[in-house]
Amino acid sequence: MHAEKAMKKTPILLMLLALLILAAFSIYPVFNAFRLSLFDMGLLQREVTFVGLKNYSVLLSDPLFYNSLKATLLFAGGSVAIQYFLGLFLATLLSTQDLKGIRFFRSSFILPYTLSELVVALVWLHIYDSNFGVLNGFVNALGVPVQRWLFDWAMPAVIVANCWWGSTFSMLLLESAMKGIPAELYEAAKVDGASGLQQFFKITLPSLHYVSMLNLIMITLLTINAFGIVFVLTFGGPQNATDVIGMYMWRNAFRFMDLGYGATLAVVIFIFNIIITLLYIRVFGKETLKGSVSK
Amino acid sequence: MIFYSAERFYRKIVYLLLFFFTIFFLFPILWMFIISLKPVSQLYRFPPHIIPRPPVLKNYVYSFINIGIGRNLFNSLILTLGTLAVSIPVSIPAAYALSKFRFRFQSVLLLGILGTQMIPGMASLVPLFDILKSFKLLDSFIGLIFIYTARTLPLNIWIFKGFFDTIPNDLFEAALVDGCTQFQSMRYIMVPLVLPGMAAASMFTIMQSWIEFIVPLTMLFSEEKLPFPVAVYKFMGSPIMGTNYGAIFASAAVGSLPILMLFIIFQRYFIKGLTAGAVKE
Repeated sequence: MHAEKAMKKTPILLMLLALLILAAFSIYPVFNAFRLSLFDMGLLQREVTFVGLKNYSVLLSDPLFYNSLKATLLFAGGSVAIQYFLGLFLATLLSTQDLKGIRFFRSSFILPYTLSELVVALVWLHIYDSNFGVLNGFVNALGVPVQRWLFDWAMPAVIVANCWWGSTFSMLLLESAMKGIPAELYEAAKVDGASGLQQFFKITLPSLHYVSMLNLIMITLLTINAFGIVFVLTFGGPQNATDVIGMYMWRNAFRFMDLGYGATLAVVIFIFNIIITLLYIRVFGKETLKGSVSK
Repeated sequence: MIFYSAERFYRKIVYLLLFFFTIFFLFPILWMFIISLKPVSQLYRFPPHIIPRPPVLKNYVYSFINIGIGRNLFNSLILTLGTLAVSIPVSIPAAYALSKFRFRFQSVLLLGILGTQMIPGMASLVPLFDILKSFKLLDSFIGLIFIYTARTLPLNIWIFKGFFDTIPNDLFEAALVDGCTQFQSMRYIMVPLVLPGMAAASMFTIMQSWIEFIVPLTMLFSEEKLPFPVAVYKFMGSPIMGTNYGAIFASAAVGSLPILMLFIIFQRYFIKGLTAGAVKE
């Protein structure tokens, strides 16, 4: 009797520390963001004033908030599309049969992902430099006039840097999913005379349905919430052209020291993340999710 | 005959594309090392030279002696080892429980744990700042280690659970029959068998905590506590060092090297760590 009771408690005891840490530092912050958004509070001051939903009404009439939504849409839309299709393309290249040096190619593609966002941004900052950057050197050699990349091309520039860093993740996910597709399917298709392209669209893509959804959800959330590269390359500029919502939130909370308003923006980001995840599941169909849970 | 030459043509295109992307992905990294080896006189030339002539180590010397990047690398090391020391020992028993026990709300708990990964880290910055403030953990390594641990736990638990799942229950029951306690069977039978999982989880955890930039930038204030990415960022903005590109790139290169090396040596585990949770094996 006692032993049985102990058995029941054991799993909870084993998980206790993990659950406590996750509760305090992953789950509670979501609720805390909502709580903070109801207050008018400075970054380091002690006194706080309860203001109800005032921060939200300020938000709704804040032109910079709408600007940040637009910037996020462009940044995330561009990054996600490029990362997914580039990842798919690279994964397809790497899946070509009997390639020589495949490990070298794969490693080269992954390397950027092991760098800090700061290092990525630093390197690209220098590549884009209008005075002595290597990109202008290249463009100049082609006979095109030098450009001020981070002023006139700010959004494409941050998207390229972001994709250089992040496409690896999609590539790895999709490549390992491609490996799981049974070879017999392709052999049967070959016997039936299907071309390479036909095989790709009729066998490869449909088999990647679930991984594609997961991948898109993950990189979308990651892009909406990552602003380290934007932070260093443009700090939201020029004239707020790259002021993505994470960047705008950070500036309000930690530069303008308005923690309450920063928390309000954080709540908005949380809500967006949920909506986007649900949207993807809707688009790809609920069945996709069910197929993944049963193991 | 025609079929074969078409196939060969296709393969040539594939190689061409692979080489193109190799250059695209490798060049910026090589460029960082190249700049770090350039003498000051060649830093501000246009068009830039690709090869530094002659390569010099002056920037590295400057970065260690004048900037003191060694201190920041040490801080990064403490944060990384600290996170490793908490995240791995905490995730192993949790994964063990989720794999080898049957209890109520088990699948809900598992989904819940994995689901915390979907909570965006950056949006949590503001509430986390407030939480650390009330625990008096702002500007401390301990506060950061808790945040990093919470971020790496779900994936680590998932990786270890995957390994525990592959170990037959008989082995575990035999140990119990032989008089082992639950904890002993975990300690002496299960843990040695999940060592490969340990490698994947460790690689993932080390990388995550070593490269983190915005979180320490927000939560740390003391100059002497900054990890290397934040320190390099501060040099970029400083009026004296900010113009010394060579030294800044040397600092960034030194800080990136450990993870680049780890990746090259333990690539297999890295990939496993990165793709775990999304792809079932």
